[in-house]
Amino acid sequence: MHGDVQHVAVLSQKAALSDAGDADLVLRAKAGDTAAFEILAKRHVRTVLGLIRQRCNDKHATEDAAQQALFQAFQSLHQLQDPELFGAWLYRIAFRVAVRRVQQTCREVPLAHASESASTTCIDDPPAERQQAVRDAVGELMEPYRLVVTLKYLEGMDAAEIGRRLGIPHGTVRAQLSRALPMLREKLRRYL
Amino acid sequence: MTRESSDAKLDALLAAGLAAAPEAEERVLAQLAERLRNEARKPERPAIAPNYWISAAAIVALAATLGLFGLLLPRSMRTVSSQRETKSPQHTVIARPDVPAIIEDAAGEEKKEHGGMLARQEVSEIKISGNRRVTHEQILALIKTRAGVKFDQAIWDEDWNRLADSGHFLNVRMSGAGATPAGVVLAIDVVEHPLIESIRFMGMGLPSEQDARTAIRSAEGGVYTRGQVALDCRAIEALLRTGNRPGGKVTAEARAVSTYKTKFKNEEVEHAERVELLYVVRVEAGEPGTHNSCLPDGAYGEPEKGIRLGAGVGSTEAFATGTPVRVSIEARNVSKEAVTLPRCGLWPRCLRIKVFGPGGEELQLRGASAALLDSQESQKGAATHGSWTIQPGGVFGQLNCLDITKFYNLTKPGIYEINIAYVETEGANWRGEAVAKPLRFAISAKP
Repeated sequence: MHGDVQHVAVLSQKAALSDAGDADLVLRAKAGDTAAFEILAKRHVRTVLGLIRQRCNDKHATEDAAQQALFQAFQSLHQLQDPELFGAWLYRIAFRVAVRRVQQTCREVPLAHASESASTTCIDDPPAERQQAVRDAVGELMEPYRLVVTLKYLEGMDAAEIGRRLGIPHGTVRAQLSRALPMLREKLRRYL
Repeated sequence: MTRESSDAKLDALLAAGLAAAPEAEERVLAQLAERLRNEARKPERPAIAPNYWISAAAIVALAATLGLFGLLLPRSMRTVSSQRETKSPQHTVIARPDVPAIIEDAAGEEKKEHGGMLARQEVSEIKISGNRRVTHEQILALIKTRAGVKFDQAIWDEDWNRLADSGHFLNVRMSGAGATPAGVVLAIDVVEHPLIESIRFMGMGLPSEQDARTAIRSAEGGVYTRGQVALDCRAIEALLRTGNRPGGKVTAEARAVSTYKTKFKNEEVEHAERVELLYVVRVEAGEPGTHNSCLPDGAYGEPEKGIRLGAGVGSTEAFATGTPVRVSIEARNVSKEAVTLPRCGLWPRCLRIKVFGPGGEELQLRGASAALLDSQESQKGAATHGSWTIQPGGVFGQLNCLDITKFYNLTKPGIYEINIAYVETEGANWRGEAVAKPLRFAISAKP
């Protein structure tokens, strides 16, 4: 389905794969099964896009970087030691790609600038301005906090699910969230 | 402002600020799929390739001689990665499988040199293919390039953007199709979105099909777009949240019910013309023994002394032969008083289960299963299972607790029916027979 309708025809075959866990799909993808990797990509693309969007304001460049991160992951799958931790591994790749992309093409708008421009755009498009401010605020968090906040609010995961995906105890996730949220509250005070 | 309301505001702000963009996801996945396909088609490069370079040079020279090079390079000979550097990410050009990868690398650098040559040529014809509902005239109205005028690469690129952004098409491909003494022939190949033949809903936890149909924007007879379907899934999830099923996740599957083929640059591709859309609700909240209600109202039978029994078979109603068919069972207290069921386990022997095969015949328990159940029965279920009190409005349920294929032979493809009743004759507080609505599902032969 992804972009080309012919994909619809093979969906029924993919349905069998769609219930498989990440580890199973990684093993299949390592063996050259691109359909398995497409399902992995579908599962994680939202977070990948979300993470990159926090670094990069350009819509096209964000999508481009997300695609590049996923493709890079496909090409480097043989380097992945623990298939269970595909998600955490992919997000690191996405982060690196985003940073590189920002250095190359993206126009990075620091929060201060975003706030300045907000004063002129607020009347016309407050949701977009708020959205940008939230992304900037989350993007400025340190790495472990940024990722858990993204997974919680973008994917709607609870601490246990985040812990499973990242391979860390759920207590650690809770602790990271409890530290991250006050920082975000401070940064986003004007919207609360 | 209280701390709780401030937390809720922050939660809402973060959720809205980090909201997903289904259309963007769709585009990224489409491009990735295209890229993976190209990767699979791409011939491996030899370790030492002097002959490769020679053949590459020969093809480059031939293309340049024909005066097509400037036209072909931007659309068909660039790799997707080189295209990404300059174009919108929606641009999903399929690289020519017959062009060696090594030429593609060289091609990008040659573009400027040959673009000028092309700019001096006149467009003799614009061929349009792949359109079914959108007319030639509508497509021509969207582009600025015209036959009889000199070719302009920048305008041609803008044309692609306008077609891709028009919302009519799932994919747009453009290239040079050939050259005549009158000028160059351009080709535009489009793939339109398929139409939705039918929409179905499956799975436990859906409040009502009517509500779900109202919540979604995709409609039978309308155009299928993956982005809209993703939004529909979120809308149904919102419906589940208001219906006391916050853990519900909705996914959509589209199956082509009719297809058609198009040919573009000697490559034949099959496309879906009409699709059947299936929204699947998965409610994963609730482990065995918890009070989460995960079955739709339609799964419950008539009240029996304050108890309604419900049964479901998970998130799908069709199973391939050999896959587990897990039955979930719930007992709901619809009375105004607490009800204590004598046996909490809902173990199969506490239940009266009848399974009917595709021919309507009642299936018998498998030998080993019957022995296992008999051994449990000898322990007198009421004595070994503790009682369970359900408060008014509460639910006692066991999700996916019973894999029916372990007890009955369900290998014959067809429609099966299961009748389940909770029968209690010994309980001190509750005795009766609560019957769930008959459960029907399909077993299909393994693909």
